[in-house]
Amino acid sequence: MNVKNEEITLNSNNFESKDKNSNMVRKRIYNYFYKYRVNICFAVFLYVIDAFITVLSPKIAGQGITALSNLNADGLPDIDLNYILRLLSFLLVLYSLSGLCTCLARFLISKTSVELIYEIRRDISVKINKVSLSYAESRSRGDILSCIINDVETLGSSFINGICSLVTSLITAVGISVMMISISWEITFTVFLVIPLIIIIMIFLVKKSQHYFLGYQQNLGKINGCIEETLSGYETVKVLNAEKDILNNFDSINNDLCNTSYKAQFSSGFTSPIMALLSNIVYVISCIFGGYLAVVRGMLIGDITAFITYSGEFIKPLMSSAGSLSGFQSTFAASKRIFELLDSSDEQPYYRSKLELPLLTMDNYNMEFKNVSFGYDSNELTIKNISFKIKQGQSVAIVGETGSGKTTLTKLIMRFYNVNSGEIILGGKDITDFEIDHYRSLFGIVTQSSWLYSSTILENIRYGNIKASDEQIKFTAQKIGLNHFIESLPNGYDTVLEEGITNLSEGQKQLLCIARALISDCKILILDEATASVDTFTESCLQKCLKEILKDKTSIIIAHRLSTIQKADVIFVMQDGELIECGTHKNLLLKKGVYYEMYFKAYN
Amino acid sequence: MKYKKLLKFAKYLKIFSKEIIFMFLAIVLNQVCSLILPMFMSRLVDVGIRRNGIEDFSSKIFLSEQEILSIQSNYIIKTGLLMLGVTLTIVFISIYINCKMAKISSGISSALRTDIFHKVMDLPYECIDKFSPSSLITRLTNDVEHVQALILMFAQMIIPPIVMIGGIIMALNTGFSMMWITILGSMVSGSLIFLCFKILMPHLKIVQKLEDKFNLMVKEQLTGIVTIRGFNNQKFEEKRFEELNSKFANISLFINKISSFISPVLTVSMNVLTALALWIGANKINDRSMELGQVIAFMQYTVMIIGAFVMISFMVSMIPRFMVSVERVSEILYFPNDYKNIRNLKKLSKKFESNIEFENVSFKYAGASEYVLKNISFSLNFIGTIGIIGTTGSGKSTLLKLMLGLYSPTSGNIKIGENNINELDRTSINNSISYVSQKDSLFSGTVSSNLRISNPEVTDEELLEVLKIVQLEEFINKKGLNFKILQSGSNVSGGQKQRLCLARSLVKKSKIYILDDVFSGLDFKTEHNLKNSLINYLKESQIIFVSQRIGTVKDANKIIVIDQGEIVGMGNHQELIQKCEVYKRMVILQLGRIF
Repeated sequence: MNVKNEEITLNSNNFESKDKNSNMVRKRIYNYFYKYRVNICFAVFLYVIDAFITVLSPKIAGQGITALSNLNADGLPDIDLNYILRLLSFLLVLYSLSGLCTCLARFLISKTSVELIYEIRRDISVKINKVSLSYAESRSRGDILSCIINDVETLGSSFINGICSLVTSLITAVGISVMMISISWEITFTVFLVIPLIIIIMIFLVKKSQHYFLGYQQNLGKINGCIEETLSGYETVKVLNAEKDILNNFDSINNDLCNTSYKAQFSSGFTSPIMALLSNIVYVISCIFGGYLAVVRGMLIGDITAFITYSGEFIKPLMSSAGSLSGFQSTFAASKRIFELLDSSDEQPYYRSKLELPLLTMDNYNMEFKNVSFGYDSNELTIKNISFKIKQGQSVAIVGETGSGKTTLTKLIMRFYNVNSGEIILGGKDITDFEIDHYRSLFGIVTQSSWLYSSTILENIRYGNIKASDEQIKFTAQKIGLNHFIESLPNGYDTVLEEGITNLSEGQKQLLCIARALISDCKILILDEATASVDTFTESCLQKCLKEILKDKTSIIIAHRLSTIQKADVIFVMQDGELIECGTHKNLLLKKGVYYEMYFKAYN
Repeated sequence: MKYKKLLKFAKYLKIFSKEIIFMFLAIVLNQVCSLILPMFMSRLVDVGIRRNGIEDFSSKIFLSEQEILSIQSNYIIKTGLLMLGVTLTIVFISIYINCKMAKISSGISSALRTDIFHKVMDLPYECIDKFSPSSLITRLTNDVEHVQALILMFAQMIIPPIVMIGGIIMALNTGFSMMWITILGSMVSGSLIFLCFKILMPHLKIVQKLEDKFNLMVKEQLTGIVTIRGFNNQKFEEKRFEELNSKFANISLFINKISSFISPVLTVSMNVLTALALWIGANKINDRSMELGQVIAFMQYTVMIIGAFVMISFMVSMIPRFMVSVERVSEILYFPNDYKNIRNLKKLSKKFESNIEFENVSFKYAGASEYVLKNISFSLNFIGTIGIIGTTGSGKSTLLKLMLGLYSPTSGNIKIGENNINELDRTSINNSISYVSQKDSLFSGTVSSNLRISNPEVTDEELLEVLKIVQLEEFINKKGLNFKILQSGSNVSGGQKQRLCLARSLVKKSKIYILDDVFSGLDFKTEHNLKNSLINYLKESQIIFVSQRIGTVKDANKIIVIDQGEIVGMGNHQELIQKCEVYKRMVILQLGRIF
C-alpha cells in the first residue's frame, strides 16, 4: 500500500513539474514575441478588417445577383444598370481594401518572423560560445544543428502565422455563421447538422493516419540509417563481399517502407475527398433548400448565391484553425528544445570570487596539482587523486593507455571542467580565482582532431592571435617548415580550406594547428597527440624548432610515439586516471616499472 | 537541356502505367462530375425558380399557380437529388484516385531508392571515392525524396489541365461572348506569377547556399569548442555568425516582401474579374442574349479556370528547386556502366599459390597529374610475415588497394598466384585475401551478426576463441555475443571497434591477411599481446603488416620500405638498417637508437 501511495505522489509531482515546465515555455515564447507586439497586433487588426470584408462581400455580390434577376411587369429582364455599376464600384473598393490589408499584414508578419528568427539564432550562437563543455559534449551535434535550423524556423514563422490565422479564422467563422443565419436560419440549421458528423469522421481518420505516419517515419529512419551505415563503411562492405547481405537487408526495409508509406498516404489522403464531400453536400443542400424557399416563400436569388458562397467559405476557416492548432503543438515542442539549449548551464567565468589578478605580469607560471580528482559522471572518477608540480619552462610529456585520462587532464588545466576535489594552482593562486578568458589567454592548445574552419590558410593561422600581422604569420609558418608547402599551393596563403578539407593531408592540418598555437604567444603550450599524423622525419624537424621557440614556455605534450616523449624534462605515466610514475626517460627506464615495460614490450 | 534528364525519370511512371491510366480516367470523370454541378445549378435557377419554359408551357395549358408551384418544387427536388448523386460519385471516385495515388507514389519512391542503392553498391571502388560517401548519403536520402516529390507532381499535373479544358468548354457553352474575360484573367495572373518567380528564383538559390553555410558554421563551432575557447575567440565566432545571420535575414526579408504580394494580388485580380463578368452579364441579360443562371454558372467556371491556371504556375515554379536533386541523382543512376563489360573473369581458387607479384606498377588517380606510385616492382613468395612501412602519404594504402583489385594500375602488371589481377573476379580475391584497416566499420546488429558477415557457418565457440585472440575476452564475457551494436558501431570504443573488425576477418580464414595500421589506436601493451597471439593463430596464413611504426614491422621476415611512391628498400630489419637510409632514419627517430 505504501509503495503505491508513493508512486502516486511521484506521478502527481511529475505532472506538476510538467505543467510548470509548459507554463515556463509559454512565458518564454511570450517574452520573445513581446518586443514585436505592435507589429503583430497591427497585422491581426488588418487581418480582421480583411475578414470583415470577406464576410460582407458575398452579401453585396448577392444583392447584385438579385438586381440581375429583376423582371419587369411582362416577366422580362429589367436590370437597373446604374445600381449594378454603383454596387460593383463599391465592391471593387472593398476588394482592393482587403487586398491592401492582406498585403500589408503578410508583409508585417514575415518581417517580424525574419527578425525573430534572426534574434533567436543570434542568441543560440552566443549561447554555443559559452555553454559548458559538458553540455556540448553530451548532446549530439545533429540535435543542436536541427535546433538552430529547423526548430527556430518553426517557432519564428509558423507560430505567428498560426496566431494570425487562428484569430482571423475564428472571426470569419463567426461572421459567416451570422450572415448565413440572417439569410435563412432553416438552411443554416441543416448545414450545421451535417458539419459535426463529418468532423467526427475526420478526427477518426486523422488519428488513424497518424498511427500509420509514425510507422512510416520509423521505417524512413531505418532505411536512412542503413544507407548511412553502408556508405560510411563502404570499403568494409566491398572487402568482406557483404554486398548481397546488405542488399537483402535494404530490400526488406525498403519493402516495409513502401507498405507503410502506402498506408500512411492512403489514410491521410482521405481528408480531401471527405472535404470535397462536405462542401458538395453543403452546396447541394443550399441549392435544393434555397430553391425550394425561393419558390415557396420568394427567397431572393442573390441570397441563395450568397448563401452558397458562404457555405463554401465556412469550411475553410474551420480547416485552417484545426491546422494552426496542430501547428501550435509542433511549435511548442520546437520551443521546448530551443529553450532547453538556451537554458543549459554556462561556463562559470569565476569559480569563487572575482579577483583582478595581474595574470600577465606574474613572476612565475609554476603549476601545481594538489590531490585533484574529477569524474564526468559523479560515480565514476576519470582522474583520481593526482598531485604534481610543473615548473615554468619545463617540457612535460604525458603517456598512458587510451582512456587513462590524459586528455581530461588537459581539459582540467584549461578549466573546461572544474575539479571535484583538490586544487590546481598557477603561480601560487588557485586557477579558479582568475577570470576565465583572461586565464585561457595564457595557453596555446592543439587538440587531437585538428580543427580548422572554412577560410583561408592565412586566416586559419591568424585564428591563434587575431592581431597578428601577415608577416608574423608567414614567419611562424617558416619556422616550423610549413612555408614551402603553403607556397607550393596554387593560391599560397590564400588557399581556402573547404568543408571536409580534402586539399590537405591530416599531417599538414596538424602542422597548421601547431602554427596557429605558436602565433598566440602563449605561456603554456598544450599538444594533445598533435603530431600523430605527422611523419617522423617532419616531426623531428619540428621538434628542433619547437625547442627553440618554447625556450621559456611550459609545454605539455601527450603522445604515443616514444621519440616525441623521450626528450621531455619530465614524463608522467598515467594509468586508469592515476599518475603512477614520473621522472625523466632515463630515470623511468632505470626504475623498471610500467614505463620500462611499455617501452620494451613495444620495441623488443 | 538539363530538363532532358527529367524525361529519363519518366520510366518510373511507366512501371505504373496501368494505374496511371486508370487514375487519369478517374480524374477526368471526377472533373466532369464537378463541372456538371454548376450546370445543374444554372438550370435550377432558370427553370426551377424563374419558371423559364414552365411559363410558356403553362400559358398553353392554363395551369393554376398552385400547380406551377408543385411543378417547380418537383423540378428543384429532382435536380437536387441528381446533384447529390453526382456528389456521391465524386467522393467515391476521389477515394479511388487517392488509393491509386498513394500506391503510385510509394511504389515509385521505393523503386527509385532500390535502383540507386543497387547501383551504388555496384559502382567500382574509385567512384565511391570520387563521389565521397557523405555526398552519396545525401543523394540517397534527401535527393531521392525530392525526385519522388517531383515525379509525383508530374502525375498530379494531369488535374489542372483537365479542369482548365473542362472549364473552358463549359464556359464556352454558357457564355461564349464573355470568354475574353477568362483569357484576360488567365494571362494577367499567369504573367504575375511568372514575373514574381523570375525575380525570386536567384534569391531562393542564394538562400539554399546560405543555409548550407549555416550548417557548416554551427558544425564548426561545435566541433571546435575547445580550440575556440582555448584561443578566446568566442567574440570572433559570434561576429562570424552574426555576419551570416544578418545576410540571411536580409535576403529572406526581400523574398518575403515579394511573396507576400503574390497571393493577395491574385485574389484581388480574381475578384475584379468576377465583378467584370457580373457587369458584362448584367448588360447581356438586359439584351436578352443570356439567362441569369448562365451568368452565374459562367462566373463559377471562370473562377475554376483561373484557379487551375494558378495551380499550374505554382507547380512549374517548383521544378527548378527540385532540379538540383534530379541532377545529383541522375549523375549516379546514369553513371556509365563500362566497367561491367569485362566478363568471363577467372575465379581465384581457394588453394592458389600465395604469391603476389608487382611488375613496374605505376598509379595515379583519375584526373590527377602526379603519380601516387611509381615503378613498383616486387614479388612476395611468402615465407613468414611481411612488413610494409612508409610515412603518411607515402602511398602504401594505395599500394594495398591495388593489391586487392580495388583500383587498377595505370601501367604495369599485378599478378596473384600466376593470374593477372585484371582477369580475376574481385569477389574471389576478397575471399582469399583478408584486408583489415583502421577505417573498417561495424554494422548495426549484434557482435555475433557482425562477426558472421564474412562466414555465416562459424560456431559460437570459434567466435569466442577469435575474440580471445584480439584481446576482447573480458569485453565479451561482460557483454556477451549478442551485445547489441548500434549504427556504425557507435556504442563501442575506437579500440574495441578495431579489434572487433580484426576478429571478423579472422573468422573468414583466408590465405593472406593484410593488416593496415590496425594497431594504431591501441596502446603499446595491448598491441604487443595482440600481435603475439595473432601470429600464433595465423600460422597457416601469410600476414602482411602495414604501418608507419617501426615497432609493428620490425620482426617481419621481409620489410618493404616505401617513400614518396617508390620502393626505397627491401629486406629484413638488420639488412635495412645497414643499407636503407630512409629506414635507418625512421628507426633512429622512433626508437632513439639502432639496436
